[in-house]
Amino acid sequence: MFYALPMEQEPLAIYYSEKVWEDAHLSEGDIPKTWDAMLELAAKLETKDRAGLVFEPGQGYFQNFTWYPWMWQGGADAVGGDGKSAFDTKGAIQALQLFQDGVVKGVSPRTNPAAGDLPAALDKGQAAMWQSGIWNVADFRLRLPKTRYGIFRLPTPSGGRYATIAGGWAFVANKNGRNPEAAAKFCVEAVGSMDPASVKRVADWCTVAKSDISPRKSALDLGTARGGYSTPIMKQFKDDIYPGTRGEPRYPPVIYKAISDAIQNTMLAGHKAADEAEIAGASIDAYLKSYEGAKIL
Amino acid sequence: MTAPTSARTASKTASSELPATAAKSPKLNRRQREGWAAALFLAPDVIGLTIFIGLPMVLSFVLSLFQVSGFGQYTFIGFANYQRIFADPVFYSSLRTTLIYVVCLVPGGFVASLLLALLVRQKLPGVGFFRTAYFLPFSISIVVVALIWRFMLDDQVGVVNQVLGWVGIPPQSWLGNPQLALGTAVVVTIWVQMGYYMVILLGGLQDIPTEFYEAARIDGASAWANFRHITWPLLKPTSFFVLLTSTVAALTGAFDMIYVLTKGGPANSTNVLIFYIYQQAFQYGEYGYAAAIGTFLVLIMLACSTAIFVTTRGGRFSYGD
Repeated sequence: MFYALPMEQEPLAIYYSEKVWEDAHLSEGDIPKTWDAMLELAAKLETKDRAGLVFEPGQGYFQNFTWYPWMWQGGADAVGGDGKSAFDTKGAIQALQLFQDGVVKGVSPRTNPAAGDLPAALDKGQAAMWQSGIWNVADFRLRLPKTRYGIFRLPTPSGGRYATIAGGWAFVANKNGRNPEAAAKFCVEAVGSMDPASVKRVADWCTVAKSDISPRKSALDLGTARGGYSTPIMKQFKDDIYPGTRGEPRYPPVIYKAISDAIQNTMLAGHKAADEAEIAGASIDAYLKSYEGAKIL
Repeated sequence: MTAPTSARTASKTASSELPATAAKSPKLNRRQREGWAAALFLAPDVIGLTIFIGLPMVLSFVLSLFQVSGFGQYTFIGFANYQRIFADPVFYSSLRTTLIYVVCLVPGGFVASLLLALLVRQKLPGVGFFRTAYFLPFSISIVVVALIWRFMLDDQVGVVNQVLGWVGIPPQSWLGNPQLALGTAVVVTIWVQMGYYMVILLGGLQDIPTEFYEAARIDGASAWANFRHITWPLLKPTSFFVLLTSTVAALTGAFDMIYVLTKGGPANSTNVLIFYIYQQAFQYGEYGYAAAIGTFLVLIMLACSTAIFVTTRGGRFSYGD
């Protein structure tokens, strides 16, 4: 139905305030590697006026997006390779439990601090750590260049494997449009051809206009050669965070909603993670029985 | 000095031509003339309602009979979208939330507005200032009001939690706790609307002849007796209007407040039907299904309005009530 070309990739990591860490006598050696260590650290850094670790609490596509990598780390998925739901499994249950534990232990807030403005929250000390994406680097650069912050990979559960997620916009041509061929050619010329102007456009977009990982090797190489990934944070995103990235899945609304309800009910309404995983898994399976669209990745 | 002469001449000419013109035009009897006048007076409203309310309602119903892809593909599916409504657990949860919202908001808002109206009816110094102040929130955009309240209700730095902290109440997540979020949205909505309904009820209160109160005072009636036997019965037509319009507003006008405050969360606890329609249409691309829920909401609204009309005998009241 569509022709699409990605123009950027935006992986997620954990941001932290260097000032808060220094005040707590922490250093890079204290960066948590496991979920338990992460929650323990968040409890140390949390105060009455400061969230220890922010997981996205708002109901919607963005919350699902930030939650998926925690599920993948435990080997679970919304839809398995056999076309059936792989949601009612240990990996999904423990990821649901992680978000609930954050709230129950009092380290993760029920609403976003600073109205969701991560740079401001880290700058003003309203959050110690916050799971979010590479796009914040450009925001810091533009608005709060003096704020000291660091990033680290998403920690993993015991026995799990590192994974993160990357979203981002794409140029899309509608196959049912008036002239789909011309629209598709435009997309290719804009962000997909080997013409130097096209390569430069993507590199500019990802390193000058924004702070993203280029989805094209040629544009990534050009951006790197021009110093777009030379700052410690951008270099870390490119070399440490980005490997292990999986693209954001495009689930149909029914699957998205089943997972969203499971996250919300577990995280904020206190329901049992196993029960919610079972309900969502059954809902996804019921939907997949009559699903006739493209393969869900 | 020439102008009056010219005016007189023109006037004379016009009056001399009048009978000839009148003779040519068809004669309308009084009933017909009144009919035409009524039609002309009603035309702006009828045309506006037809274009902006009636036509979209018909189109929305037609849309509800289709499955729409969002990219221009329409497939006729009859009443399948309506069947889907009854098998959708989120719809039931949303309907329940909507009913709780309406049942709390309408009486709560009415009582708050009536108390304010009784308060500002008193002839006290500076009462004009308070009338204006109470009305002011209604004159501000709902989005702005909701944003300000969101800041005031912030878990960490919100002024509400800070004030409660002074009296020893621990901070609450007013918009992040499913047990508090809907109640919070109701209170904020009442705060916005009570000034508007206060003005309407104040108008109704001021229409009550003072002679009744004077007679009651001579008879030694208490303040409660005054309210119970004079104010309340004579205020019924105004109360009917306030209840009807506030019920319709609660069913259909909650979108912007909910969108800014909670976006339907946490855990669907503020996902009222009007917001669920938005989600289905603009987040999930299910335009046909959203239109079907919209039609269902109109039916609910008609049922509520009919119930109010029936219980109040069509808004017609006599002083004997």
